[in-house]
Amino acid sequence: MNEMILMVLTGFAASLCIALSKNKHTFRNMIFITAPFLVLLQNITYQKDSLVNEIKIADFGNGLSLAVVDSPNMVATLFLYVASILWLFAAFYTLSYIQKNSLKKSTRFLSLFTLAVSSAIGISVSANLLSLFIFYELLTMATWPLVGHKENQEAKKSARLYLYYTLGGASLMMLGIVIIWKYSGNMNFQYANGMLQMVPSNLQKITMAALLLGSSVKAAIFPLHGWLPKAMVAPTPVSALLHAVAVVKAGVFAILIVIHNVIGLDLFFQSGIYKYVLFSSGFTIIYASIRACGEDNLKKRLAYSTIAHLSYIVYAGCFSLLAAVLHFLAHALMKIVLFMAAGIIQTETGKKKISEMAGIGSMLPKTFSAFTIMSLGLIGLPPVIGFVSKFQLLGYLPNGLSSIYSSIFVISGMVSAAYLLPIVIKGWFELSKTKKIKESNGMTVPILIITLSACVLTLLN
Amino acid sequence: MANFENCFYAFAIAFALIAAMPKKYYLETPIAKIIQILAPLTSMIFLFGSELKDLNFLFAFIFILISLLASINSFHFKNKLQDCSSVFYAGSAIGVVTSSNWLNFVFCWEMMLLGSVVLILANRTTRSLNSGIRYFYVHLLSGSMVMFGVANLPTSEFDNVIFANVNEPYTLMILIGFLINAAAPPFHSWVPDSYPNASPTANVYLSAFTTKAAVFALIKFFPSFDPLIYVGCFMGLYGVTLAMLSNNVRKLLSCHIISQVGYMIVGVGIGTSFSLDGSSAHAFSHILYKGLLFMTAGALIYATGKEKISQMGGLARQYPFIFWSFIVGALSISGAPIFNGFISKSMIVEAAHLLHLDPVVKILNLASIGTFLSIGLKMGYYAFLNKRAIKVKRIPLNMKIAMAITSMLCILFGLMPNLLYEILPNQAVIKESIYQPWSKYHVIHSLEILGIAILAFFIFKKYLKPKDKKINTVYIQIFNSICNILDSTTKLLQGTAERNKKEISQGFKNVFASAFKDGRENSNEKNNFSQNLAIVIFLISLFILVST
Repeated sequence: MNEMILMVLTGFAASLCIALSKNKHTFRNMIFITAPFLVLLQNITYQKDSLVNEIKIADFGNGLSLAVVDSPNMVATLFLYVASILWLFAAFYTLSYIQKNSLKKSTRFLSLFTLAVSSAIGISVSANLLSLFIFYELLTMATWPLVGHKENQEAKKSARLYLYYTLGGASLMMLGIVIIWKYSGNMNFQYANGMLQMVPSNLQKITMAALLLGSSVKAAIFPLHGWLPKAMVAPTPVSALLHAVAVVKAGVFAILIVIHNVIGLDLFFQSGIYKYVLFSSGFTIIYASIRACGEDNLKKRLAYSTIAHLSYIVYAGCFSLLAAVLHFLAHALMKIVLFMAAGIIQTETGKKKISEMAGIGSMLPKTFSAFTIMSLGLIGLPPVIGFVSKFQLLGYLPNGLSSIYSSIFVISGMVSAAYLLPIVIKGWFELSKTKKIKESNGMTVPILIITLSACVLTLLN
Repeated sequence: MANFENCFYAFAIAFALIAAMPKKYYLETPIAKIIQILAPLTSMIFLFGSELKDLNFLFAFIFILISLLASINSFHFKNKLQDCSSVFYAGSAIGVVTSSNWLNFVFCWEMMLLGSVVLILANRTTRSLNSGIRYFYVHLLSGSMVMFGVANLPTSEFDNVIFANVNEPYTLMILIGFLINAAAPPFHSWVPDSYPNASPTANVYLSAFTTKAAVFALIKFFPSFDPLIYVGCFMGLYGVTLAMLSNNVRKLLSCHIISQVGYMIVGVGIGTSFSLDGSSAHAFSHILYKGLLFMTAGALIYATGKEKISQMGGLARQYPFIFWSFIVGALSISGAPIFNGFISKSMIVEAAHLLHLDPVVKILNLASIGTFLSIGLKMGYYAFLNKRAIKVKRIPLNMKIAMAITSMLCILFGLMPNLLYEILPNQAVIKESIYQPWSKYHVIHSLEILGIAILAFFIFKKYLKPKDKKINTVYIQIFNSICNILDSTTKLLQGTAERNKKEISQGFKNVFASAFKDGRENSNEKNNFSQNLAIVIFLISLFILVST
């Protein structure tokens, strides 16, 4: 069996094992930690065989198959690495989180969590649109019970909303994929450059619209962003890994694939559909940033910030992949740390609201240092990788286009400062009578390592 | 170039050591303070290992020198956050003036922002928090502008790039970014807003780096860009006017930063090799004497516990040492002979004179008069000489040492100008020999200016008496209105999108508004229109006096 298939299947197998583990908690936790290690190991040691383009797992006939690609393209490779590396850190964090919060029904939680991340990895290496779709929906199905994990009224409501949004998007995506399949037959997208030539011109626009709208649900582009802030009722590991990295990045990945590989940049600009994408993502950047200013719940504020930053990637992705990909990486690193820090604050002190967070810096110095450094990164300041990605975002435009387009990043950088800086200032400088709390290593060490690596990445650049 | 990097590393290591030091050791032993002094000392050694005598060298040298003096000055003051951030700030400022490519330059430019903001915040008063946040936003704008411009540059060349043409948007962006950091109006108010709210020992650092790094960048990238002459002239007069209106010691000195940077920008705008040298030399001198003045102000505040000139008085008798240091600083900034302001300021005026830019010469002379009037006479008279003694405490030895060394340096460079002229980047004074600082004309001219100022002081003494007046209100109002706009926008958005309006808008009020709204400085300072008018009329009359 091919190693790439093995890598994808490892995660699913681990998920199954965890689900069947019953009450053997040590065994379960071992598997939960080992799975990302194995995936990462396979990822690093994998020898690319450039002759094989598509490795079929299952063949459905008529040109339809579930298949993985041998050597993914740039965006896919990055997504693969980001997901598998951050999975490792999130795994350690999740176990400590479960232990500290004594989360109920933890076996179900861990099993679905593993399933969700494995599907995200499946998305990144899928060879054709059908496989992409299958993994994409697997991700949805694995995530919605996680959103509703607390099983109270609010959680159930949010989970249902999540399902409505994502399934609606999925059906639109399905429509686009079916049209492409009917007319062109070839569904391999990884190195395609415009798959819509065979589609009759009267159907082209519908296809483009369906695909873009369908994938923009998970990328949380206005007006399809409503599920993301609501989904913050989920336990923090879910918000951190899934709603800052895996799920939303899968959406962004799908959009980038649709723009660059399925539609192709030529058609994208000729048909004028780029205006809609630019406008809606640009509007989302401003809208979500301003909304973030008004949120008092820390996780919700971070969720709005995520919405804004996902649109950064889409906005830049309309022109150049390099800047988009850099911000893809940078945002994943920074946002996962911010969410994890929010989770630690909630676990250790029980505080969810920003207005209660005076003096949190002296209570949890390590956690809040990581939070501070990564907030600076989101604003676009050194020494974090966000500085490099902002530099690329500001200068990504190809010649001939007015630099007005990228001035949106200057404005939204200022607004980012407006919603992140008050938290930092409040935490460090507004003193209240607080005692230093001992931070649990299981949760702080992962975020400190990610923070450090984000800084080192900048200095190496 | 390797030596420059070593300087940077010396500061980086010092930062890491101080930051990693446990609080107990920090409070009980002076190790952190010694590290803070050792970092500039070692980098000075590295610096003199290099053969280059260019713009980078000059600025790196003075930055290292002032961080040495400032760390001596703050030896007694225990605040770990301040020590960390001041080393960080100095290191990144040195990084800006020694960087060899654009990415490094922007990186250090933004690091400088972080260092200075934390240095202001480290004072931990409500006012310093609020003004620190405002400072952050202004400089974030500057940083983003520079980054925006640099990211869109067509070339990646760094060393010999001169932007003469600002029609291109990216060049304009870079220029705006530099001018914000150089405190050019309308982005000048961050100086008098934030500097008085930092701790007095931190002021020495703050006054030296940010604006001068911007002057460095202007000299390097925008020499002989004509509009800068007008900007500089306006700054020269405007800063002095603001200074005359202010009562707070450190606010007065901060306003003078605007005015003095105005001189440098005029020199950049004129753009001959002689005037560019003048700007660099003036930046060099300015860092020294402004550092000295902030040290004396810090010593006064330390001794009396008061910030306002109107609350001080008669301190010359109790503190002859501070008084004489202050006199050295005040005469230097006014450009009196035998002090270092004289040898650099007259270069810029002379450069304007050589090109027959008569209005510029007159404006600069007028600003000189105002400078001596507001610092030397107003502050000197009302803080040191005027009767009324107040309770005081002794100042620590290290402050005296720092003030003594800085005063001696001011006089040394004044008496032996060639020490400075030899390390200027173009060495125009030595090579072209068109200019003698100690010529009869210059000496008499500067004495004339001092004389006019003294005369004016005794005529207009009634108006100059320090009173509480509100300055830079526009600045805070702009922030308040931005806050209000964001506030109402958010409410509007939430009104349409969220059901639980009340909770969220309350949250907004708690969190975001605390950053800005409490920033409304609710002091009882009044904005006295008639008095401002009197000062303006007075300035105009002086102008007529000089120009005839």
